[in-house]
Amino acid sequence: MRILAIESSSRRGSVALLEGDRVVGSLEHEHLNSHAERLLPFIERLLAEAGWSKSSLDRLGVGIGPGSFTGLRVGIALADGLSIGLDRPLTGVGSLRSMAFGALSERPGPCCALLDARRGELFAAIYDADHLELTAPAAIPVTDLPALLETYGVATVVGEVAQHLPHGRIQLTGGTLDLPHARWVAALTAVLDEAEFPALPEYVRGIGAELPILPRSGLEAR
Amino acid sequence: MLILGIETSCDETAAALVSGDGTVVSDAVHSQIKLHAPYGGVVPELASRDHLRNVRPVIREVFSKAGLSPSALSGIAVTCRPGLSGALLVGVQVAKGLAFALDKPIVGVDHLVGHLLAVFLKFPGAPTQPAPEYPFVALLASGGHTALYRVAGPAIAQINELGATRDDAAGECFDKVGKLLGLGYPGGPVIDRLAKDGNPDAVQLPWPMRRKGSLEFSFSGLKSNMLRWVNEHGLPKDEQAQKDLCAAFQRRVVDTLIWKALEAARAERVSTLVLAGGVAANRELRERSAAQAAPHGIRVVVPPFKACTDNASMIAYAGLHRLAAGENDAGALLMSPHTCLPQSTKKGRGKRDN
Repeated sequence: MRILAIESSSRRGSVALLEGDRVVGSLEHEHLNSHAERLLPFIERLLAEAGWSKSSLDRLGVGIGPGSFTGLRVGIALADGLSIGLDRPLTGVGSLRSMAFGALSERPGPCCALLDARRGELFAAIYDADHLELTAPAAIPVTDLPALLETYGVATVVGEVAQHLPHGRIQLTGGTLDLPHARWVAALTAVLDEAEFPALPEYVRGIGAELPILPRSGLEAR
Repeated sequence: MLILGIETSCDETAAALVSGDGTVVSDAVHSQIKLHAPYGGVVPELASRDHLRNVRPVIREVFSKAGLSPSALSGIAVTCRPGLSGALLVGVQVAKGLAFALDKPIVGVDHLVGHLLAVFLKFPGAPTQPAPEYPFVALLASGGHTALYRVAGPAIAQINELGATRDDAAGECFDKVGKLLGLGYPGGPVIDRLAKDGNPDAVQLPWPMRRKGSLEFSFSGLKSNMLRWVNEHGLPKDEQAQKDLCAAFQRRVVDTLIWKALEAARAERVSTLVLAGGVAANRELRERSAAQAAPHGIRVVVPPFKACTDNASMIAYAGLHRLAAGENDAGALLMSPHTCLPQSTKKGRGKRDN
């Protein structure tokens, strides 16, 4: 089975090709505000290097956050277009879930995946050794982290933001586990069902606008 | 030729299939108006999220309605400017993915050009009107834009801005006055309906920038005058007073638009005036423009209602010419919040040079 995966929820944008359980190729960049222009050329290059035709792809996967709202839209909308055009199923893979999936391949669970959510908060989610989600992705105050790790008996913490935090857990921040990466999205696309995991963004946060109090005419207007 | 148009620049998620002669084969529009209404205007983040939710179903809908598969396409046209960044991004990314997957050419379209050319669309089953001949003068009035253009052809280089609003767009003015009067969002359709039975002379309002020679507009002053009127008199106490106030306000906006549009048409020595944009759906603008243009030997052409408001058919049509010429923006296509049409009017000059 051939899989193409896209991940652009963080400052890293990446694309990966997977066949069976082998990553055939992957590309990533960390240039500011340029996911929209870089992802498609990455895909083109990877397919050419692997000698794969577009139509030989069986499934598509995309990271659905949480992360940058714009980054999520860049990746998910591109994957939407590819999925319609190629007529192939598209699976949405949580970005924290994919990081934990990578970490759990070499470290004990439960694993807490972390991303910098700015404003003194972290995006966090916890998965057990069997990849079951113990806590859903959420934005939590940095100060709440120790209690959260304690409650779930977390053995491994993954994510580059972890290196700045005092938590005493075994932490993984290197390689492709410091930030979400398409290779782990691809690995999960192989096992997750697209009906249960659709490519819809997990923003975790609201739209940042409050409902105003609008004047009413008092007269029947409609 | 069969072109897929995609439009996500503001608060409508739209897709359409248009053939080489401008016939709309199928179209679909998902409007976000109800979503934004409680906020009294378009909330960008809310709009972007809703586009991403609906762009897939809307694209699928136009293919299933037409009984065609994406492989039948000759090319894709997508709105890439101007508009809300997060909203534009969704359409552009989907379109790029589709074009790449299908090995079809793709072109980015300026939303304003789409509006200006909407008058050429043919809707099967709808009464046809003779299409305008180039060159013509077009009044584009919507919630985001108000400007006059000389249109000599479908290419960017053939379109010149003659004058634009210095501040609020006409549609924006309708929306803000609608909000002020407690009529909800959007204000245009409600004010138009109430104005129908009102006396436009019952309330005296100033003319917004009505002086000879200038093709620029300014609607923020009229909006402030409405606010001043309400502060002084309170909200209308009965239905007739409400209708009269709406009629007086609408008359000022409509007659200003017509006055300047006709001045532009005469200065450019063209015999056709085209109305475009959401405000072109206004009943009084449609009726009064035709009546006022006739004595000058000027014909007013207005697209069907659904071609005036944001739609993807006009985007497909506007991209058609470049696609037919073999052009392809391919993966390099990026969105921009700004129009690529040259702008003659500086925004925000207010009354200083008036």
